[in-house]
Amino acid sequence: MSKDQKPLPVDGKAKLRYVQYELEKEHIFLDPIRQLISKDLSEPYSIYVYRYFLNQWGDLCYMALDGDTDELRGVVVCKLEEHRSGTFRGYIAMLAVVEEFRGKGIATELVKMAIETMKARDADEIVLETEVSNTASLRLYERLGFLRSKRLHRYYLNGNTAFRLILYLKEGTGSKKPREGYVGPEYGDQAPPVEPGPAFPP
Amino acid sequence: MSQELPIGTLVKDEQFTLFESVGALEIMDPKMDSGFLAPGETLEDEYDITRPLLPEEIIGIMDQLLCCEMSWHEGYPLAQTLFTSHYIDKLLSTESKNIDDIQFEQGHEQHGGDLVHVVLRAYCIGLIKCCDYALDEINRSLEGGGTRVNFYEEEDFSGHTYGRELFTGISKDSIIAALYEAEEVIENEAAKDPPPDGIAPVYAAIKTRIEFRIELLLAMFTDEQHSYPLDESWMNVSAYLPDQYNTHHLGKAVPESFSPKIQRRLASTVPPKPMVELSYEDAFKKLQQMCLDCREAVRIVDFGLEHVQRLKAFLWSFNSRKPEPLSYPRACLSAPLFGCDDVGFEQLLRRDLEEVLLPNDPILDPVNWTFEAPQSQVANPEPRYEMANAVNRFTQSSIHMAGGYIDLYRSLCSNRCRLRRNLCHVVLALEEHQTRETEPLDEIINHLSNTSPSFPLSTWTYLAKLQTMTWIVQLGFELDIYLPDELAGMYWYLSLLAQSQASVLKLILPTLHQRVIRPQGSTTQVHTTISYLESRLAEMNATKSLADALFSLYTYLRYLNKIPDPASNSPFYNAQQRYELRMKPFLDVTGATVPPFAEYSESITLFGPYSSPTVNIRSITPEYLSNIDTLVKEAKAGFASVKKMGVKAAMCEGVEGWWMKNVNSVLASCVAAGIAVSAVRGRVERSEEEVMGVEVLEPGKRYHDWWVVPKIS
Repeated sequence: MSKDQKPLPVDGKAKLRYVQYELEKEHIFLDPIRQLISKDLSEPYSIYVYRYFLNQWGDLCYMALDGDTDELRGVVVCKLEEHRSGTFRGYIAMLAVVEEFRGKGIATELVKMAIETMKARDADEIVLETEVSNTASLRLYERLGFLRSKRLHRYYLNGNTAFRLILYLKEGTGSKKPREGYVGPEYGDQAPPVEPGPAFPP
Repeated sequence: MSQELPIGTLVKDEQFTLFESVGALEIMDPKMDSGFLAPGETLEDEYDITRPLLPEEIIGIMDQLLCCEMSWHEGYPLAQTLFTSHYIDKLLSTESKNIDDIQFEQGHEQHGGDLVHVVLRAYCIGLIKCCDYALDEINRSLEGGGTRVNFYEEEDFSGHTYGRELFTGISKDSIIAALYEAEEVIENEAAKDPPPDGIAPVYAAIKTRIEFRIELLLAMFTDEQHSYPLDESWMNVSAYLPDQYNTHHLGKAVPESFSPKIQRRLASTVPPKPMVELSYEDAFKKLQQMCLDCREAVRIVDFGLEHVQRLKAFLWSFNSRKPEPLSYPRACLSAPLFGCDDVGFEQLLRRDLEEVLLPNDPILDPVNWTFEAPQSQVANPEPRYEMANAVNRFTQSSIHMAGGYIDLYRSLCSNRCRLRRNLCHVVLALEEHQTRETEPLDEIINHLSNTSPSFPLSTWTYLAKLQTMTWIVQLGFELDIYLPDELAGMYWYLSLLAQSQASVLKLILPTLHQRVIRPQGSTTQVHTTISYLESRLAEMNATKSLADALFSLYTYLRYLNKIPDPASNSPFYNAQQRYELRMKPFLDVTGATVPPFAEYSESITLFGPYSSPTVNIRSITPEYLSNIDTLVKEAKAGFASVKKMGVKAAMCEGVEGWWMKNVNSVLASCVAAGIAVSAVRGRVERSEEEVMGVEVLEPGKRYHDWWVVPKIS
């Protein structure tokens, strides 16, 4: 969806347009995305982490761009694949909004678009982690209908604890079982922490 | 191939996972490339570890090392903590066979004097040895009996030593001798005539730190005869803490003796990460708490394996400690427990069966285990052999399955977050055990013993399953998992679980009363079990009442529009799917099946939609609130009777303090619930609902973290 979505006015002055990421435009957007995300991280991700997501699930990445200058104001990065639990699981890996543009609903809009796309692609559930102390992030996701499913002690490298948040998109998701002989693509229970919490501002 | 690809095209290997991408490094990025240097930056620091130090600087370094040590205990890697010290790095940089080889400077000529080469050196060696002991204890706790599933806790502790040995081969005695020598040096320095002004307290402060280190080594030391540190040793350690704390201000920091650059020399692909900054104040608090926790943890050996419910109560009490004990104290608790082998855990399970259900029962008569297996299949097997065999099959399969009996203990020894998650595995294992294993074995047992409760193994398993499910929900309140708009529904479900437990207990009790009426041998054990089950029954009845009260209260507040429901306008909101997600841990459970959504939904919206109720809420208020009052009173009376039955009936001897505090906190929650109901009534009677404040207290601010009583203003 939304490749040619009309600019959405966000507040009185700032005009933004929301666009889907395209691999062909990596040379334009990858650096700003990296800068925006890593700003709030205690330890940076290598370029491979970004490419891991953007090259496989670029269509699940949405950007908020300045309506006039095309400067990056916000971004959400996701993936969608079969999880070892047997569900087709969407995962919100990173979310960030430029500091001066926070509190205007940009993050919510980006997340909504990503979820809509994953829903259209038959996702059973959407999953993410966020710091227990990041009330703004918790509020954002809980307003969208996410519930806390687990508390993860010292989940992040900085020693902070996280909540795992989940949103079911389909009935029967909770009873899904792994396919016979299926071994998940990931190592361990989850992807290693990719700090969406710290990346999302208070 | 490369010629056919346009420049900039990315080649991705199918096997390149997210895990690998996170571990991948970028050359020339200062935060990732361990060899990257900023203009003018040197690869290593120039720090002369043989330079003479002032006594004040010795204190400063010792205290900074203590901060590093506590950060390591807190879970940060050695590389970012102790291994950032030039002194520690030097001592560990060569392999040493005995303590004399461990030097800051090889050869006879030693610059810097005794304060560096005797005092600081001995302190550092002692400190590294303490880390070795901690690491050993933590490894033993992980390797011990019954490691079945990935119940490891890498989030709590970083055991990586980067290929360095932490003086494992150096004897404790030689290290303590070196520390005594250090003490002597300090005493001699202090006795020098005439002592410079104000130096005496400085030397005394160094001495305290050396003595503390000796006591800590003694407390952490574990060998064959003394396979556990005693609680007195930890009291001795604690005794040195105040003096250390009070003299911290005498120290002079030497920040240049620490550097994150040392990480470049470690066997690690990871680039240097920032040093962990922990203030002395915080480090000291953690140390103080660690000593208290260790002192409590080592009591595990007093509990032994004789009384299973008591042992479990002790594990619960330790797990409930706030702030949460660090990995090392938890290892002091679990290493002796998991030193127990499979046979030990089978015995533990048999005792569990005995204490809960089969006291002094022919099914568990030790004689049954003395019969040989029948020689041929034709021969009539000895019934008592058959019975023992059935019980053995039950215990063996239970301890060997993932999430099984041993993992229940593993869960109780993990951190609080993992406890709840691991209990979800325990429930599934109990479920599987109950549906696949216990019934055929029970049929054998029923056939052979007509005096015992029927289906004992299934009953025990079912009861254990219900108990675990109840804990999972209760821990959900404690860990702040449930949102305010879920509280009514979760207390509704908790009430169902408590009720199910109560009905099982009510089924068991009459069979035991029969045993007292028609005694076969001593009835002491039977009486003990009866008291225990009665205590549990009272607790479950009271739990049901209080859960019902809170369910009703939150439902009512919901109709008054006082409970936020932020998601209801979301395009993704779906009440049924939320319910399914919330009940996920229990969806596969039989016997106490998750109620259908319709039933749940009807219960929490008994007056119709919250925005347009089918009744006038005001008109039903007096009766509705007085019903809640009644429930609260029942709960209070129930918990009071649990308290009256006492700690012995509850099989919590040994943790009286914890048990009493727990019961009193729940009683306080009942009082708070009563007050909340009156406050609501008052507001509504005065038509002040609009201005009524409802605060859902967060964990830690409640009388009891399992009971979220709203604060009404």
